[in-house]
Amino acid sequence: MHAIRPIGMNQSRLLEGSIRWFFVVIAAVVVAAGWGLGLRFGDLMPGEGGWRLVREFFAAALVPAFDYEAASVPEDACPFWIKVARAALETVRIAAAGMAVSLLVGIPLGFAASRHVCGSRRSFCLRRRIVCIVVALMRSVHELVWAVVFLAAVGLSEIVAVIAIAIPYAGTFAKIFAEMLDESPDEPADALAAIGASRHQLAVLARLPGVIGEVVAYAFYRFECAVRSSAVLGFLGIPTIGYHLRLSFEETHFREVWSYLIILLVIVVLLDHWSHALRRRLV
Amino acid sequence: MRAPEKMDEQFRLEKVDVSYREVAALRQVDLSIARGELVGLVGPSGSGKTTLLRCLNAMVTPSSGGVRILGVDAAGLGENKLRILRARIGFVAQDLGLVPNLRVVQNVVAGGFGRQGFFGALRSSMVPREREKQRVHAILQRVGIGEKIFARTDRLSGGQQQRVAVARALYQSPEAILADEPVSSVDPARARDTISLLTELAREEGMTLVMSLHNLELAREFFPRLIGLRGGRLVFDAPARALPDGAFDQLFSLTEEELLG
Amino acid sequence: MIAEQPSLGELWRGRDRPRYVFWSILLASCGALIALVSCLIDAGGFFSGHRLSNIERFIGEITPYPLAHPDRANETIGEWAIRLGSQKVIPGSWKTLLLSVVAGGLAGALALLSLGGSARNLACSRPLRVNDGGVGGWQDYWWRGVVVVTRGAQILFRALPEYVLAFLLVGLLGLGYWPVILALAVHNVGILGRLGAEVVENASPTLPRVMRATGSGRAQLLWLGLLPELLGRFLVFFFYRWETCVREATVLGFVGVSSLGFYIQDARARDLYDEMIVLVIAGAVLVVAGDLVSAAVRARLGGGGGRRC
Repeated sequence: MHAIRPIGMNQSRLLEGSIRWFFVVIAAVVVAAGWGLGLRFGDLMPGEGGWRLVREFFAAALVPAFDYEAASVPEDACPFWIKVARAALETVRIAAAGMAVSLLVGIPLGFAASRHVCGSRRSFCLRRRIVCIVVALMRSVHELVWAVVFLAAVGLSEIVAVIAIAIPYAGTFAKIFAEMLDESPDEPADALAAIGASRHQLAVLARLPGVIGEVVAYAFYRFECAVRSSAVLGFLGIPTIGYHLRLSFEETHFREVWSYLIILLVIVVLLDHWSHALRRRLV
Repeated sequence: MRAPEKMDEQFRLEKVDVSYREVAALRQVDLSIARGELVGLVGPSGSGKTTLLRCLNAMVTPSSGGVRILGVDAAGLGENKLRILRARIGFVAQDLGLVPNLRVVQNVVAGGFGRQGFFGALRSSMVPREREKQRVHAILQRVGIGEKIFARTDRLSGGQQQRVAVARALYQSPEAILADEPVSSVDPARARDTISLLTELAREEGMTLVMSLHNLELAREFFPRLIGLRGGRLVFDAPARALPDGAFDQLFSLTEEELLG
Repeated sequence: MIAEQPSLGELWRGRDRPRYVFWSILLASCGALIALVSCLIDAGGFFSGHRLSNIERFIGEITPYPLAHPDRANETIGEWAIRLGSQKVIPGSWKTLLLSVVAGGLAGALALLSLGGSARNLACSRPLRVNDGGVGGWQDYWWRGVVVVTRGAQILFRALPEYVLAFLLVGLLGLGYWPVILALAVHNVGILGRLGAEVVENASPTLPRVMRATGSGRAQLLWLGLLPELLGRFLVFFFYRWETCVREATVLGFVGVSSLGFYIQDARARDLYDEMIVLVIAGAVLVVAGDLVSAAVRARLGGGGGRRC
């Protein structure tokens, strides 16, 4: 009479099964890694001077700067809020340009990396393999590392930031896009193949429409990520938010730091909201 | 067996064997279908109905035997020749194969893809010409959903979506239409509507119609010629009227060995 | 009486248009193109003579020094490789890996804890919509406040880039592994917390309802009733995030902690471009290896989704 078994049995078994072991193993690995780094919880606490700094920093959050904190500002300096707005605009501009390039490159790469476009012919599959490897190489190097390499090669410029963002983002987009195409519903493509549609027609006109909502929503999400990356690239000297944030922090102008942090947060949260609103409508 | 005149023969299978990974789906099937015939394909699931239909538009290559489609030997045709051939044969799939989030008009113009290049197809789908829109509209009116031309396909009811699939087949101006259990997912009244629509259209246009279906009542009512399949073999191929009542029972009854697995 | 059929033109004008989506995409793509063009214009004179010679010099300098100048080098290529491997590549990769594991584990643990406050069907007076009698009106407000605070914190956490967090924390706490780990963990708690909350909110409530009815407490409900269903999905997300932790841990070395990024930055500052390129490639290999491990584990767990994180 196995039918009269408490409902909970199956699930409790699961907890006793492999997943619980996964957790035990993960916990053990994490602890071992912490031990390997020589971490001690005591080091988490900042010293006497550290506490003062932390207090000062978070107190500044309540009164972000609307004007320069420094005692003497050059005569010809623009008002502080214009400087912040410019940094924000520059951050978004580089992110948008990087995203544009990454889409222009990533969409064709994504098609080329998709199983359905490659068809069954051997030469096409070889091409797909190569594309997949290129895509993996592009995404496995972080945008900051790309930026460091390019800075070493050609020196400082916005275009370096744009390309540094574009390469890994194109790779990631191509990978995800190809996965989406591969997992798209087969029915429309099968039906159109039966009435003579070509492989390229099927990929673009039967498979892509089935996942286009997801693709657009994902692109918007990636734009949000690109804004964060663009802000961080400032730490290498490109005049985005990170650049100004770093200078202000190093001069311990914490209220200015908070102004930059807040504008970054506002941009990212707004973009997050936008991409969620789109996703709700599209997917 | 009927022996239609050579001139009007549209599909011919000669001793066709099809097997997927060593499992035989069709065995030694001989078949000839003439222009303008309405053929119902019946049989239990797994009997090879879908495979037979897919032989007729060369989506399946037989492991042995000959297939002639619209007077062309399908064996050894290149990809482009196959596309041209398939474009002349309409197809209505069981799951309809519509893209749900596109407009009806976009799904219908897809019927023309087989005759278009990549960019032509892209243009037709994104910005259909006035002429194309009018043609789609006329066809949709004919199947009774003219006002839905710009609606999103997934907003339509199941019966309306079937009509879109039929309209896409008509947009091909096909010489024959193959339909793979197009009505298995709707209620009997809708199924009846769709079948009567398809047979009516086929008669008016002089198109051949080959449809596989589960419902024997409907098969008998609408198709003058019925083909029974079981285990990949033709069990009967006869005018519906000439079939004895026992023929269907024989088709669907389980043999001892099937019961024992 | 037959109603008049609307004409094609009328139907076209009357079609439903997804305006929000249309304008969003139009605005975003125009903005992106304008940004791209403006960046290209700004970079107009970018590839001028000295830049090109820069590139040439750079390409010349990425060949290992003992290979490029065998006469001037005081070590052979083999010694060079061994020195680089043992002093920079291996310790850097190892530290990167350890950092990512600790940070990922910490983020996962904190995210699981935060679920009690961020999943709307847990953080309420009737967890998992189980009816267990009296509910005080003020309790509802209290729980709503908890949800708003937890979710707000998660939004802020994930909006802050790891690198910015690490930079600030190093400045405040002093150089060490903790600031980097905390930075990674804080950002990922924001993401994992939201994903986990979605899983909990979509969980089927049958079992917890039965448990609640038989008198189980809130903690039991979570640990025994919900967790088994939740764990698989959560682990999939966890491994997705761990992949990005490896990527980020590499570059967080830029703030001065001895992961691979530190050695990359160091090699660049000393113009040792041959060593820098080797370290960059080592980082890429590490990331690919992390991806492969994570993909294998996820395949074993058999959960899809989470691609967006």
